[in-house]
Amino acid sequence: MRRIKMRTFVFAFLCAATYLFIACCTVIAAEQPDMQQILKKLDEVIQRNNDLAKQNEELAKKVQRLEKQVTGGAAVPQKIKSDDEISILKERVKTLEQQGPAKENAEVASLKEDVGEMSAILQNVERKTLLDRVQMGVELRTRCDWFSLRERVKTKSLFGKTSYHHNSDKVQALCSNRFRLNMKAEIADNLVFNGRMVVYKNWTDDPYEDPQNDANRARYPGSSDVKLERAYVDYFFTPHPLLPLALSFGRFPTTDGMPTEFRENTARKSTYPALAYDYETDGAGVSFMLENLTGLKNSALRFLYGRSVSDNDYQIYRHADWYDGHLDEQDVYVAQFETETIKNSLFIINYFYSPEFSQPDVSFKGVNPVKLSSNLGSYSKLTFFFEAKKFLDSNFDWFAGYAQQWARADGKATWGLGPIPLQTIGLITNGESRERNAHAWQIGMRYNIPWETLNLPKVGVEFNTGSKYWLGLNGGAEDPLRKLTTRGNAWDFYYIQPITSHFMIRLGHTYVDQRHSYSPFGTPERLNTQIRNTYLLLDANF
Amino acid sequence: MRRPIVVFAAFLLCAGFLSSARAEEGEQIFTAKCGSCHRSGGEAAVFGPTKYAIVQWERFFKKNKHAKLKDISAQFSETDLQAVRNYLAAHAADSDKPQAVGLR
Repeated sequence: MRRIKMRTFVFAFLCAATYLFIACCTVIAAEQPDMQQILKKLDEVIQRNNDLAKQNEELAKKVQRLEKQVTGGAAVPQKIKSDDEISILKERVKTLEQQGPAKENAEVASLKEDVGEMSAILQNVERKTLLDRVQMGVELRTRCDWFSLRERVKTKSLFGKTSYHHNSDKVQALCSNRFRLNMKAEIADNLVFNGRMVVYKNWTDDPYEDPQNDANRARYPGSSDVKLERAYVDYFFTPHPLLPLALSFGRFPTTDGMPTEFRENTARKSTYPALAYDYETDGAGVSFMLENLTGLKNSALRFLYGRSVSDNDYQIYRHADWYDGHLDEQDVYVAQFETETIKNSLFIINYFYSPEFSQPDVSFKGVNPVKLSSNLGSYSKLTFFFEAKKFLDSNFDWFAGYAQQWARADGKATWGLGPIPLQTIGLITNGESRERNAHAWQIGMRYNIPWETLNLPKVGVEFNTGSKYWLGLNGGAEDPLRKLTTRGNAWDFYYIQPITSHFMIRLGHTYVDQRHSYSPFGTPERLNTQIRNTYLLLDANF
Repeated sequence: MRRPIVVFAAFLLCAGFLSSARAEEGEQIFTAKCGSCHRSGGEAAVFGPTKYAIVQWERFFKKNKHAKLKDISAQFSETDLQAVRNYLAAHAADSDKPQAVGLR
């Protein structure tokens, strides 16, 4: 019985379980579509969230852009996370979008107005620029010099006893102003004009022209103190592609010869090296550009004719027999080869020849000529010069030059009191016919101190020496002692302090030890003279 | 006569020790880096320092005008830019030029 009950119970349990299983399966099968919908909805929610995130990012970017436009980019919104923030931002975007175009339109209109106004102004500026054929630049220099001289003089008494005494002298703070007006005109592509007008005077120097004086000179008509230092035209033409030429004429750039630009802190300002020639010259010449022909960088061969001395104050027909006492012209012929050997360098061979050296002009002194000669002899000079800036890419600039001179004295001039002769001179002689050969050389260097806080100052030293009969031809030199004319030794030290690109200060000291007196005329006399020049100059150029 | 030569040699030695290659950096960078685009048939037009006056070059760099055309900050360090700026200003249209007969 018990077994029957047990079986019945198991059977009933199994039936119930089976029923439940079937019922569940039925329910599940019946509810299957709802689950799919749920999953679909789930996907939609996820998608929507993603879209919202993207929209969120885009809105943030848009707000950023608009805020930048409006506020100039000062404020950057933080990352937006919530729907509330999105709605706030949407509102903000709307406002900004409404403001944006209006503001933009106003700005565009204002800009258009500005452009119109500027175009009208530019028309005038362009017209003026086209009419302004000459570019001008100004250099103004104020310089103060202190000089001291010391010499040992040998004297002989009536009884033949030799004695020595010393002379000394000092000049305190001799100040000067130098004004230069530099001009340049590119008349055409191949025609260029350069010029320079100069006023150079000592402070308060009175020209003795009553009633005016230095304090009111500009308010009275008087003699013109403006002088023409250089005015020349270069005409460039190319008769053969290998040999471009330049024809030059006028008053040449033959002062401030190289290496003057080292201490002047400028670019090259002369055709010749100072050791060869440093005077103003009128003339004409031709330059052959040899770079295409030789392959040597910046190489040129120049032939120049100049007239360095001539006195034509009163008479045109100065060769007439009745005319005497004034200077005949002194012709100068120069041949110069130049090239750039290493980077930023200049190598020059200069040959200078003057076949008829003129007598000095003493007519203004009222001295009576007894017998004059239009030719005191011939003079020639061969100069080699080399300079390099930023030598081998360093901060070091240097130069060296050597010149050999051949002078043949052959003629004399005599002045006197009435018919009585008082003084006779020749070319570096007292009137004798002699060979007066000589030489001179110079070296120097400049160091560009790499102190940017001090605007890259420069320090330099120069030395030159000339032999007994040396004739420097440096009357137009920048330094007051004309140190390259020294028959002896000369040292020069300087410090250049740039203040701005248009203003510099230079402090320098020149020491000249003269062993022989210097003059193109008369036999040199033995000297033992030392001259010192300390100077401070202020240079503005613009 | 030996004194100046000794002084000259001493300066030469000092300069040799003290000198650096910085002086020419600007030109070298200009040629190498600017020239890589600004060349004949290149990405940009050829130009030289005389394209502008000194003040115009200063303004060009101060306002970083190149960035409006092309950002070159990846190619040029601040030192490079300063060196190029110095070079262009030093050789600008209104900079000091050599002067001699028959010299362009």
